[in-house]
Amino acid sequence: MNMSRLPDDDEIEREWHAQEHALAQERRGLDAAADAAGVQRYRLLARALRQPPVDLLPADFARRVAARAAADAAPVAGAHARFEWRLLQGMIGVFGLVAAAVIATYGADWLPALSEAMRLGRLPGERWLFALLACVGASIAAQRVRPLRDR
Amino acid sequence: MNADRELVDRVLANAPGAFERLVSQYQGLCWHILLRLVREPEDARELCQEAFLRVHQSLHQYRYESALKSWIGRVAYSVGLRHLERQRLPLAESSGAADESALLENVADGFDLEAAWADTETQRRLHAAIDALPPLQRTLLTLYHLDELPLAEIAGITGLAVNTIKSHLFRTRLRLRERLEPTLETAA
Repeated sequence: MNMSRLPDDDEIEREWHAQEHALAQERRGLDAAADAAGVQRYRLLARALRQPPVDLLPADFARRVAARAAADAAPVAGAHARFEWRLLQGMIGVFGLVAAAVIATYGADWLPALSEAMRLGRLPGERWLFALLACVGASIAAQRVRPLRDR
Repeated sequence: MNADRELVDRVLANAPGAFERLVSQYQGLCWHILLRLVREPEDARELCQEAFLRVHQSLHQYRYESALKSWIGRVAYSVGLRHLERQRLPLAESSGAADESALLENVADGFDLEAAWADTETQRRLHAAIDALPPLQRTLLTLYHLDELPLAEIAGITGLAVNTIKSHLFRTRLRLRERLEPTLETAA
């Protein structure tokens, strides 16, 4: 009866060491004469495994893949830009409608006061207006600075 | 890592030639992974292109947690795995440890490395044995021996534990070495 047994840790460790030793010797291109028969067999294996595949990628593979990636990305970027533009138009439309509704509802209360203030040369909520202008200015300045930083 | 970051930034900024440079830099690794996984060169070429297109689409998700090489290798590996799943091809075969004792003990004396290397029949047999390995074992051997990747990096690419990789390497090399032992016919 064939009673096969599991290898013990020492045997496995010794064999792993032989495999790794053969690989290291082969990488360094050292003479194999002094190596044991088992190590020499592993060196032959390592030598075969270090051979690059016979089949290769085409020489212009990188150029072709880059061109394909750029072609695939362009319509997506265009679609994103179109979507963003439509979204912006929609939001401006909604904002206009809301503004018209607010003026129609509450305009009777504050439009006379506003026209009176403008006639006197003073705007209501001047400080808030300056704050708004400062925010818009900062936003425009940031947009101008970003391309210079990325250059 | 700085070179990785610079290259990734240039690709994300659509700098001219940046993605082509990235592909040329890592196409060798992807090719080895995919050719070893799927074996058919034509399939491997298509999958290699698919892998790099996926890299291009998802590069903004790369967080520098591993080397760019490992990240790209992982993308290629997952593309190859999906192909094997679609083809219903097994990735690996389980090998029992029971017969390994005999393999460990059975080492014949006398072996001339250079003579064996010069023998085309021995080389042919060895390459045929390597090609006949299951996809996972073939790929692990290639990443370790040909691409000279450390075990931790192979673990990053394949998602396997380092000890699992060591076990696969050990058993596969042991069985391949067995092919180089003299058979009863040749010994006679």
